[in-house]
Amino acid sequence: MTVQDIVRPSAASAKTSFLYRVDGSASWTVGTANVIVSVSGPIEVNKREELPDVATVEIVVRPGTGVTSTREQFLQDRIRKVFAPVIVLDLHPRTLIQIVVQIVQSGDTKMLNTMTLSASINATYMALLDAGVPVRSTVSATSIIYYKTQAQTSKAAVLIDPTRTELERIEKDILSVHTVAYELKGGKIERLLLTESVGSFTEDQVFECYDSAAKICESTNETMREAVINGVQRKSRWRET
Amino acid sequence: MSELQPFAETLSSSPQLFARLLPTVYFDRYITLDPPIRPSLRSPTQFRPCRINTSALPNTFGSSVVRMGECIAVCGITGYIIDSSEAGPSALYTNVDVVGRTGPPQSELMSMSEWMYETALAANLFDPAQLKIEDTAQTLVLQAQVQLLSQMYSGDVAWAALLAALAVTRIPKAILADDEETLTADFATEPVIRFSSSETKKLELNSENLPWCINFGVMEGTGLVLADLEGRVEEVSVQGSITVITSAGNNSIQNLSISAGKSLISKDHIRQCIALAKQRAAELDSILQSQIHNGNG
Repeated sequence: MTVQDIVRPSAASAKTSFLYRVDGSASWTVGTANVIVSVSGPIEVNKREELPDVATVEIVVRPGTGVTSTREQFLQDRIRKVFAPVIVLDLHPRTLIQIVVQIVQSGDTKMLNTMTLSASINATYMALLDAGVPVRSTVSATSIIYYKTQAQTSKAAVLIDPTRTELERIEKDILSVHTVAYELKGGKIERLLLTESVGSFTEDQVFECYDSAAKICESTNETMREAVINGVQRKSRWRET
Repeated sequence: MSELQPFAETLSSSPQLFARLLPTVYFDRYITLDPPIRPSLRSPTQFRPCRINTSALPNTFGSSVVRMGECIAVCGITGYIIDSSEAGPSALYTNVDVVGRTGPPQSELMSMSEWMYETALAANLFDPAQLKIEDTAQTLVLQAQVQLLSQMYSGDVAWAALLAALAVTRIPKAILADDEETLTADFATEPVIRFSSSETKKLELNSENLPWCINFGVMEGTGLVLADLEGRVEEVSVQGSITVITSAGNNSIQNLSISAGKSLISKDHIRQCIALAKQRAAELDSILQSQIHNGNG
C-alpha cells in the first residue's frame, strides 16, 4: 500500500461569516463531524488574565450533547497547543483572543475523539482567518484509522476522515487511530504541528501515516482556499454595483 | 541595625530568582555550554532517577508510590461491584488528583485525567474477564485513584504509578453469602457477594513488559532532543514535545503524541525518541520487577 493508493479527495466543506455578534466564524464538515467555531479578538481582557507582552488566548469547547467533561478539556488543550505558536500573539499584547468551539456533531464513536479534534482544528483555523487574527501560516488536520480486515493480509486497511457509520462498522477491529495536523505555507507542507496516535502500531506505520496525512492536508488546504475565496467574493459583492 | 552592604552585593540576586524571572535565559545559559547540560545537571538524554515502592497502602487491591526526580505520585486500586449488563467499555476507571486541592481542579489536571482514562482504555492492560464474579451476573470494576504529591507533576509519573499498582494488584476471592440476598437489575434475587480477606488472586496483566510513558522535548532552533523534561524552567524553554508510550521487547508503540510548538520536529527526532523510550521502558520494567521481588510484592 503506497501513499498514492490511499489518498482520496477531501470530502470536507466549510462555511464562513455566518455568526453576527463575533469577529469571525466558521463551520467545518467532514465525514459526519460538524463543528462551528467563533473567534473574537483582539478584544478586552480582564486584568487577571492579561499578559504584558502577548495576547491571551482563551479556548472553550462545548459538546454537542450533555455537559462539559474532561474530554472537552483534553480537546481544548490540544487545540491550544496547535494554535498558540501559529497566531502572532506579540502583535496584540494585553488583549484577548477568544475562541469558542461548538461541536454540533462529533462524528466519532463513544470511545474516539479523532474526528472531533481534526474538524475542530480546521474550523478554528478558518474562523481565525475570518476574524482577521494575524496568523503565521496555514493549518490543516486530518484523521486516519488503521484497522484489521477479514482477509489475512499483513497490511492493515485504512480509513481517512470516515463517517460515524464507517467507524462503527470497523470499531472492533481498530488497530490504531491517528489525528495529524500540519503547518503549510503557499499550499505546501512546512512542518508537523500536532499528532495524537493511539493503539498499537510500529514506527514504519506511523511514518507512513504522517506522509499520507501530509498529502491529505495539502488537499484540505485547497478546500480552505476555495472557501476563503468564496467568502471574500461574497463580501465584496457591493463593489460590483 | 545591620551593616550597610557593598553596592555590588545588593544588586545581585539568587539563581532561583533568575530562574523565576527569566526562565528561558536561565535555561539558555546552561544548554549553550559545551557539552550542553541542563539546570538540573542532567545531560540532554539523561532520564530522572526513578524509585518505585509497591503495596504500601492498606485497604487496596494494589498500590504504588512512584518518584521520578521531584515528582511523586501515589496510586491506590480498589474496586466496586456492578451488574455485568451495566458494564461500560472499560474495566478500569482512573482519576488523577492533587493532594490538598481546594476548589475546582485545574484544566491541566482535568486534561491529564481524561488522557489517563483514554490511554488505559486503549492500552488493553488486562483481560476484564478476570474480574467476573463466578456464578453471578455481576462483575468487579477497578477504580484507580492517583494522587499527585508534589508541586511539580507530569502525566508520565501518574501513569507509572498506575502501572506499578496494577502489576501488584490482587483480586480478593468472592464469597457468595448463604444468609443474605440482593435484587439484581432484572428484579431477580442473587446472594450478596462478600470478599474474602485472606484469599486473593493476582491480576494477570497482558504482558510482562509494561507500556511506560516517556516524555521528550525538542528545542526550537538547535533541534536538540531532551529526555524527561521536568520543572517550569524546562517546560517554558522547550516547547516542542514528544510523548511516547511503549513497552520494551517488541517494536510496537502504544501512543505517540507530538506537539511541535515552534520547533521543527523531523522523523529523525521521532526515531531517536522512540529508541530512547524503548531503553527507558526496559529500565523501568527492571526497577519495578526488582522492587516486587525484594519488597513485599
